[in-house]
Amino acid sequence: MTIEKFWSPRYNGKRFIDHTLPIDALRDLVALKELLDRLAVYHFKQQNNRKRMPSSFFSNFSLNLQNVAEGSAKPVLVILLTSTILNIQASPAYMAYTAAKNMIIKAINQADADEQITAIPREYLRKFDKIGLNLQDDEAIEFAPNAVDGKKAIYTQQTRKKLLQASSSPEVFTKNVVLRGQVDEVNAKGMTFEFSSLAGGKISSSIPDDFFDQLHKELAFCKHGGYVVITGEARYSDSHLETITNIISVDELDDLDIFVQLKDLTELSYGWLDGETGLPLDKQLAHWFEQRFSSFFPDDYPNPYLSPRPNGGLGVEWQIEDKAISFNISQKSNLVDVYFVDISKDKEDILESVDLDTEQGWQSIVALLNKEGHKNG
Amino acid sequence: MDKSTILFRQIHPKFFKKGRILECAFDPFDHNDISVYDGSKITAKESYNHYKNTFNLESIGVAGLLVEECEQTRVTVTLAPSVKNPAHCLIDFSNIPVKERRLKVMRLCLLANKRGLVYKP
Repeated sequence: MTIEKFWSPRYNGKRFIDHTLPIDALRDLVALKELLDRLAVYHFKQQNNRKRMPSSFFSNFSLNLQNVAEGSAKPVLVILLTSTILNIQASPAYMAYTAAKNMIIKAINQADADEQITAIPREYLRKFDKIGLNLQDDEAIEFAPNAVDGKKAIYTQQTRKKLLQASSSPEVFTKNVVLRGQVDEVNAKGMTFEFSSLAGGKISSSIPDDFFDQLHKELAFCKHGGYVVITGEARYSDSHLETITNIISVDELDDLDIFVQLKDLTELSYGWLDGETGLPLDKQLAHWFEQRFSSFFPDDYPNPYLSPRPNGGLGVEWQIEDKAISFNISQKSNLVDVYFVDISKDKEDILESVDLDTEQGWQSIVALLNKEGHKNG
Repeated sequence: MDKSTILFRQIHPKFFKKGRILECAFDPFDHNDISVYDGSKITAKESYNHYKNTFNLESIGVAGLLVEECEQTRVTVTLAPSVKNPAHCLIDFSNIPVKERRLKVMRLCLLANKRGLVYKP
């Protein structure tokens, strides 16, 4: 067997520093292989002016992942030729795959530099939809980490988006999602389900076999006013959610889920308190709070109870047994006074001017919750 | 008023979640007081029905506070009977500095939660 080292993309990011690669990354390699196959065929036909591929082109030829190199998570792609050909590099397939690799590197560099993407015909660019789907905002794949010209073909979510925007169907893209909403209908015959997202929009999606029973159960839960969160992948068209393409988990949301509570409060009718008094929660304020809460409040602490204020503001409070911590938010300021009371110990305190726009501000609330034993578990 | 008298507060549905009464239920908001019923003159159930039928307002149930608990929290309880509501009383926060009122509201809420709703239809 003859082995030739072919390509060594490098993953950069906190998740990869311990010499390991998340299993998710293997999906990148599968998608990358598909793109290489397509471009190799394209290149071969172009170079040889042929309409059909020779039957021997792919035989005894495969791309194999050899290992994750020491020092960094660096999957080394190795082409294995199982024929008796000694000079791999002279084989038409090797030359076509090398050309395909160079096309990909050049296209990523073009996207990275905001240049027009000419290295790959636009009909093939959609393949990037499946490459790097799970990359986080602070992660990248260097497809040419040792490029002598310094053009490392750095692939990020931004690069991916640019490549997809240059494709023949630029409006369609897939991304990882966490969708909150309600299951409205489960169609056993067609194995589809209807889902109303809290963010807006009702969509129809296929049911993976292993989720049929659970989605059926969640349908009953949602009919009683419950909400679920679906984690997985979804396809968007023109920034609108089109369909859920893969489900990883479906979980019932707690009544105190922040998104659910905020949505409920923004939908209050005018005069909700007594027929005359009471504004619905201001939508901008709800969005601002949701953003800050999601960014700065740790998952392993209990969610607060949210209540509407008659002036369109928001009451935020944690209550556990004889203790309570609370503050009010209005449209006027990001600074709040946080109040604490423990009636069993006759203790009370006020943290003044806590800035909810900063992590430090939220940390002071968390510290108070921690001190007073409000942490889960 | 007798310290052992229970005062009934109607709880708006938006101020009750997962079995807890929320602070807003006892917040005077822009006023200096909140309305309650005098438990020596009316039962919790009767107060609920009176509130719904006379004022046509929403209530998910009735919370209870003792006069003694209010006094310990240093808020004043005063009789305020009217033609429509002879059992009407006020829990008055006007002698509490505005900044400290929230602490009193929280205390009243926690005290009410120790008892839970005293009537739920």
